[in-house]
Amino acid sequence: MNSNIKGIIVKISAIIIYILLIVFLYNIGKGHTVYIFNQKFIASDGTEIEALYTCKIINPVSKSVFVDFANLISTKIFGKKVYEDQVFTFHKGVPGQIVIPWHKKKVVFEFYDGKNLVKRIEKEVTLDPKITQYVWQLAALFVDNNEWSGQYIIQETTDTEIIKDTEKVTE
Amino acid sequence: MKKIDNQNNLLKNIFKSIMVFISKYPVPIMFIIFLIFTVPMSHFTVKYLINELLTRLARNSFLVLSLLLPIMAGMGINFAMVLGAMAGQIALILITDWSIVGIPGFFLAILISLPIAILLGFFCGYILNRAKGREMVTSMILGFFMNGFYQFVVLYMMGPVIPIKNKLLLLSRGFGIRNAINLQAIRQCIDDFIPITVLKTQYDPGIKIQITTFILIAIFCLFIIWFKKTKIGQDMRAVGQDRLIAESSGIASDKTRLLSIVISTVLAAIGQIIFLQNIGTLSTYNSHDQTGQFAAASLLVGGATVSSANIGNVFLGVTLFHLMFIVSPMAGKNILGNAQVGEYFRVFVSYGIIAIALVLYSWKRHKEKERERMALRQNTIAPKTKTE
Repeated sequence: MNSNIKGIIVKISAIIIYILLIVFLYNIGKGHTVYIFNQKFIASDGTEIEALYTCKIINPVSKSVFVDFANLISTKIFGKKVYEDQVFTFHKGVPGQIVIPWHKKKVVFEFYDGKNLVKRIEKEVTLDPKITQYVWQLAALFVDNNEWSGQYIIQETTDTEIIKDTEKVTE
Repeated sequence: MKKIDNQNNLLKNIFKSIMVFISKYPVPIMFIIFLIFTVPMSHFTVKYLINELLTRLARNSFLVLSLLLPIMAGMGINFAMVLGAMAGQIALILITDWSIVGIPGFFLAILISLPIAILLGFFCGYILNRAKGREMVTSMILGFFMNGFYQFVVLYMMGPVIPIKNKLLLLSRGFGIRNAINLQAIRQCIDDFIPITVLKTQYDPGIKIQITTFILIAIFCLFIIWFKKTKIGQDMRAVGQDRLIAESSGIASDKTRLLSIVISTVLAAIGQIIFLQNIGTLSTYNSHDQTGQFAAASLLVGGATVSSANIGNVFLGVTLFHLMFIVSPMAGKNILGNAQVGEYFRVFVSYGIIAIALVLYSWKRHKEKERERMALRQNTIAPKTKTE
C-alpha cells in the first residue's frame, strides 16, 4: 500500500479514536451539580427560615474505583472498610456545591448543632438530572421525617431562580 | 618536606574542586545555605514539612518537567508554557460546565486541551523560529500577548459564542467566566485515586502520599529518558548543541525546534490540569500568570542552566524552591515579627533567582568566549614566533 494512503488512514483513525474517547469519557463521567444553600430556606407560605444545622453528607461520591474495590475486598475478608467514606461538610450559613454522578446510592445525612449530632438519616438516593437538586440534603430529610421537616418546607425552584438566589446571597 | 608538600597539594586540590563545584552550582548552594538558617527558624515539624513538600512535588513537578525538551533543543527556558497552561484551563472550564466528575473528568480535560495546546504550540514554535537567539524573551512576551487573547476568549466569547450552560460559572451580566471556579468535581481525583497516608495517629492526619500523581510523573520521566534516545531526541540534542552543524548534517532544525515547543506546550497543559486538580480551585484570570516564572525558577534553583537541564535538576529545584515557599513566611514572622516580610521575600527570590541564573549564565558564556579567543590568539601567535 502506498505510504501516503497509510499515513492518511492512521491520521483518520487517530481522529476517530480521539472523538470516541471524548464521547466515552463524557458519558461515564457525566454528573449533576448540587448547589447547597445551607443559609436560609423558604417555607411554603413564603417565610424565610434560617439554617439551623451544619450538615454532613457521607458517601455521596465514591473516592475512587480503587478505594471502592479495596473496601469491597476488605469488607468481605475482614468485615470492615479499609478506607473511610467521603464526607462533605456544609457549615451552617455557608453555601457550597458538590458534583455527583447519576447513580443510586446509600447516603448518610448527619446534622450537627455545634459539635453535637442532632439527627442521622440513612437514605438510598436516586439522582435524577431533570429535577432540581437545590437543597438536596434537606429534601431527603423532608421525605423521611414529617415531624422534623415541618419547619423546612422546600420550595420548588427552577435553575434560573437558583441563580437569582445566589446573586442575592453574594450581593 | 615532601610530606608537607603532598599535604599542601592535596589541600589545594580539595580547595580547587570545592571552588569548581561552587562555581558550577552557585544557585542551589545559595538556596541550601538559606534553608539551613530558615528551616529551624520557621519552627515547623519535620512531618509537616515532608507532607507539604510531597504535596508540592506532586503538584509542580510535571509543569517543571515540561521545560526540559526546549532546553534540550537549545531554545532556553520556554516561558510560553503559559500557553499550555491556558489550554488546560479552558478545558477545565468546559468540563466544569458539563459537570464531568472524577477521573473521567480529568482525562476528558486532558483530551480537550490537547488540540488547543498543539495549535498554540505550533503558533509559538513558528514565532520562536523567527526569533532565533532571543527565544526566552520572545516566549515571555508571547505569554503576555496570549494572555490578552485568553482573556478575550474567556471574558467575551464564553457564553455568547462558546455555550456555557451552567449559569453559575458566568458573570452576572450573562457572559464571561467568573473570577474563581470551584473544581470540586475533579478535586484531587488523581492524588486520592490510591490514598496512602503514613504515620497517621488519632490527633495527627499523618503524611499523605499522592502515589498516583507520582506514578504519572515517573511515567513522564521515563518518556523523557526514552525520547532522548529516539531519532527526534538525538536531533533535538544536535540542534541544541550547534544549530548550524546540525543543519549541515541534514537535520531540519526549524522543524525539530517547532516539535520541541509543541510537545512542551502539550505537557504544560497536562501539568496545569494536574496542578489545578490538586488545588481544587481555578482562578480564571490568574492561575496561569506565574506558571512559567515559578517553573523556570524551580528548574534554575535545581542547578539547571538555560542550556542544560536534566530530571535531577527538576526534583532538586522543586524541593528547594518550594521548601523556601513553605518556610519563609513563618521564618519571616519569627525573625522580624511580620509574616508579610517572608511573603515579599519569597516573591523577590523567585524573580531574583531567574535574573541571577541568567546573569551567571551569560557571564560564564562571556568568559568561555574570551578564553576561546585567547586560546585562538595564542595558537595564531605561537607559529609566528616559531618562524621568527
